[in-house]
Amino acid sequence: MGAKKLILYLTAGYPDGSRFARAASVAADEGVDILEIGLPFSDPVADGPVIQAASAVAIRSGVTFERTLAMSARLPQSLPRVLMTYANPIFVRGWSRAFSLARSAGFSGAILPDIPVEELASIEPFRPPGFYLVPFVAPTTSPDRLSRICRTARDGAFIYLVSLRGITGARIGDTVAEEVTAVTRRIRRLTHAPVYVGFGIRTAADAEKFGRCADGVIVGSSALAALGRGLAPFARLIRQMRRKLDRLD
Amino acid sequence: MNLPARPSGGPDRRGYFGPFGGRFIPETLMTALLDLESGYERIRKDRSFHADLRNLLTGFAGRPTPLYRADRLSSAAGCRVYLKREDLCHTGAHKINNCVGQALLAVRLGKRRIIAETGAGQHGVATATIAAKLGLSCTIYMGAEDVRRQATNVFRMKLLGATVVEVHSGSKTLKDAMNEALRDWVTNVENTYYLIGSVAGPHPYPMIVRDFQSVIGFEARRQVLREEGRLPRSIYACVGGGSNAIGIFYAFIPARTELIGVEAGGTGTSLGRHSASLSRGKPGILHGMQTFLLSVPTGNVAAVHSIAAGLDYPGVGPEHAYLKKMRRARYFSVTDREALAAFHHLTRLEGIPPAFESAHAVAGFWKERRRYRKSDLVIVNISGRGDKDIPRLFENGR
Ligand SMILES: Cc1ncc(COP(=O)(O)O)c(C=O)c1O
Repeated sequence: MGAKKLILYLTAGYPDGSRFARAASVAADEGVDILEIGLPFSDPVADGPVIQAASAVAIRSGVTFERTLAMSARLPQSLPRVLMTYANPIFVRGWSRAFSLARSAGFSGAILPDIPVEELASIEPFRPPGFYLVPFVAPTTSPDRLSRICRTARDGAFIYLVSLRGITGARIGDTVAEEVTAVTRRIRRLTHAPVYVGFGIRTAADAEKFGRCADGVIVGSSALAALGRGLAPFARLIRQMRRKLDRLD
Repeated sequence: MNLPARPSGGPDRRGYFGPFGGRFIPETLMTALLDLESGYERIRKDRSFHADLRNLLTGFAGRPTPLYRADRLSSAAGCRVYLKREDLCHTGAHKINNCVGQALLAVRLGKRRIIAETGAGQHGVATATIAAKLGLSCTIYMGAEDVRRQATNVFRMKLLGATVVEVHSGSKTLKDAMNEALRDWVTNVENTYYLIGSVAGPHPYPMIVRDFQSVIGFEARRQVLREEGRLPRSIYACVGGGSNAIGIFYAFIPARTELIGVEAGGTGTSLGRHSASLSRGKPGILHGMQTFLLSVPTGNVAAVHSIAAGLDYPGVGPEHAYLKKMRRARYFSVTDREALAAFHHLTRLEGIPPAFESAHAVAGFWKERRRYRKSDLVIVNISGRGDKDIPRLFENGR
């Protein structure tokens, strides 16, 4: 397997419980390195229309924190996974309790897009050992904040590099790859944590382009859209991305 | 008519009022928030900014607004009642105070594009109005449900040259409009100023909006001292996000005046039938802030209801959460029905039809009128005028 990582986002219980489970196992078979499982939240401000719609479907069908954990616990142990959600669903359960439960259900960490590093600092004490919190870097991140962010990538955490100014599923502009390469280079001087690029990566060609800039790519909206069409197109998209990434080294 | 020289209670450097507030927002926006904070600190000390603000508040927004002794309401209630007449502001509500201040700030920060969320349409209209005046491009996000409920305000915004984007996600109301405005801001952060309409959102917004709205209370304080030579026993204001309430409360926080916020009790006490986040909510995190929130046990935000579109919001400004915790202010709710009765009451007694939002403040006072003696002074903040709501009454009457 190639050194460039493929991280796949799925909304828990989307399109429904059984197809979610099958999609996760297809993902494992097709060489996805980390599965990012989204606990749907009613007000996902960092997400575009595809993930918003998937979240709404999942919420309507009764996907909760507890059910997301149960779904995770049934996945193959060998597939690393992180929990992606927003602050409130964790906060209302108590940071410490929610993180510990997530770890017991097989999650190695959490991604919380509405918690910047300033707030992460006060949540950090509630993080159980061996459970990481993923810090975000954006194209707008200033140099002084960058070093602070990089210092918080601990216990196996990767850095989530947001490719563009925008929300998930947005269209990537022409200059984004250059910017991503430059930011990755600055991150490398500050931490050994791997840098994975996400937001707007839709095609195998995008995966190749951004795989070259960083340690791996995160794919969400386009995979969910493919899954909405069926397991076959979903598997095909992942396979093509995997193949392109493998050829990079 | 200046910004308060020194904030008396918070927020602290991280934007917290006690445990409430903070900055729960995507990383992409952090630099913009930090720039906003430092830009705001600069203009606080800038004389020419204060001169521009003063000019616009007097000539354009119509300040100072009167503090009016409501004699017929007073004798009906059995105490001395004054109304703070924010309904006489340009565009019909207190919202313009904040819009003028923030739009001037946007210009100083070099932003020529303004976005905002709106519920009742009052904040959207006020934003579009100042954008027209300053020649800024303006996009307003409004829930599809509110577009339907407040059609004339949509038309007004368009007349003023704003683009109105109908939001179809979630509950199609104010909170969803705010989600969509945040998504726009993340996407266009470099050239866009997000002009939040209440004391909500991530730090520094709750502080900035409070400072710009505090003119209401500083004026009222001066006016009541001039008229009566003493401070009021109580002040009533309606609470949606909390900007008109904090606006009138702020100058009185160091005093002994009782500060009372009236929330929207809607049609009942079960979740989904009201929007009384302080009276019935629990601590939670939404739209960049930790505050009292109406959410279901899963952590998803609850549906809310109020006859007043401007109160139809599941959260509340973090400073109110703090004032509640410290027991410096008290909050309770009145129902749609009580607010409607108060609307008619004030219209008939004083010839002043209040906005449905402001009618909640009137109803809250009316409910508690027996607490007061004849000589007690009470101020009720009339945050806006009822013109926008009269078509609803007309349709319901047919
Ligand atoms: C007249 C009026 N009063 C009150 C409000 C509620 O907002 P806030 O609680 O921020 O004053 C609104 C909001 O649209 C309004 O239009």
